[in-house]
Amino acid sequence: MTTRQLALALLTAFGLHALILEQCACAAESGDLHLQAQLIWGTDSDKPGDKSLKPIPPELDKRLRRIFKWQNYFEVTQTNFVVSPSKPTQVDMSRECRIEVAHQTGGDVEIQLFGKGKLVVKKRQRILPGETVVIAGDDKDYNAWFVVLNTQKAR
Amino acid sequence: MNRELQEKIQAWVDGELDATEAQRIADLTHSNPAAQALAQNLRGFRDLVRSHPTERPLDASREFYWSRIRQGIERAAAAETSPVRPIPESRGFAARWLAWFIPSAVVAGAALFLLRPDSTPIPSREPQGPVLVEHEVESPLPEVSTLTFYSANDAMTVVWVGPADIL
Repeated sequence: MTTRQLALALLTAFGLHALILEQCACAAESGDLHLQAQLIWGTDSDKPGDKSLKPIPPELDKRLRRIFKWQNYFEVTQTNFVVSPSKPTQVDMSRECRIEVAHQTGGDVEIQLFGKGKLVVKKRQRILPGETVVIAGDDKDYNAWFVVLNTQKAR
Repeated sequence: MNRELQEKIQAWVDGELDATEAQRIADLTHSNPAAQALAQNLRGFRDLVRSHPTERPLDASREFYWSRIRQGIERAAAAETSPVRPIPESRGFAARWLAWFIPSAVVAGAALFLLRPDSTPIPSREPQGPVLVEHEVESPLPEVSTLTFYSANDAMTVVWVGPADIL
């Protein structure tokens, strides 16, 4: 057996090991899903009239600024929650805005966004660590709202 | 609204239709609120995002994208395993075992990768700015239209909903 063959065999074994570990991690995550939801308001105004609005984390601010045209983003609410496979979780983002997240088979989540009591949109997607799902739309006076969903960062 | 009509509206917004077809779509957007909303959304996309140098739909369906990857892996695995040469008995057990293990490992690795459940968006070949993608998005409200795009640089999927009053 040549050295090249041996090196190839070792590399393959390491690759397989990594893949198996990843599969195990996916399986472990098939239980409860720990998510974070933020309701964010985007505006070109510097000073929000509502003092309860908070600046968003710099990393998210940077990502939103890279994509969207608005100059400033403020957090209205932030909620950490857990979605179990057995039943959907409802999260109130504001008085009029609510999301309902259900853990689907296969690791996907179904996100339902309600505004003023009405189902506005329903989306199905997997949320992987480091990936962000945003449901957003225009608000009055050229502002915008963003419902931002992430997996919770490891504590 | 079917996919063909959505594509027609996108082509109309981009100014890619001939005069007759453009007029037909223009008339349709006047009479069909969903078509009108989609056209407005598509026009708004340019205003919405800060920069979109690679704005374009994916050049392949999800199935075709994965089939191309699968074919590449299969070709690599076939190249790895052929031509098949008998291992002399004198090489010993380890050599014969590895001769079996290596191709099996390649095939197993490919199978694990391909069978992995995954519904994340597939980035385009040049993942930079936001690109329009197709996603499972539904709305029971006829006046609501959605536009989904993905920014690989920011690892962010965005569903833009319009018009919707949620605050």
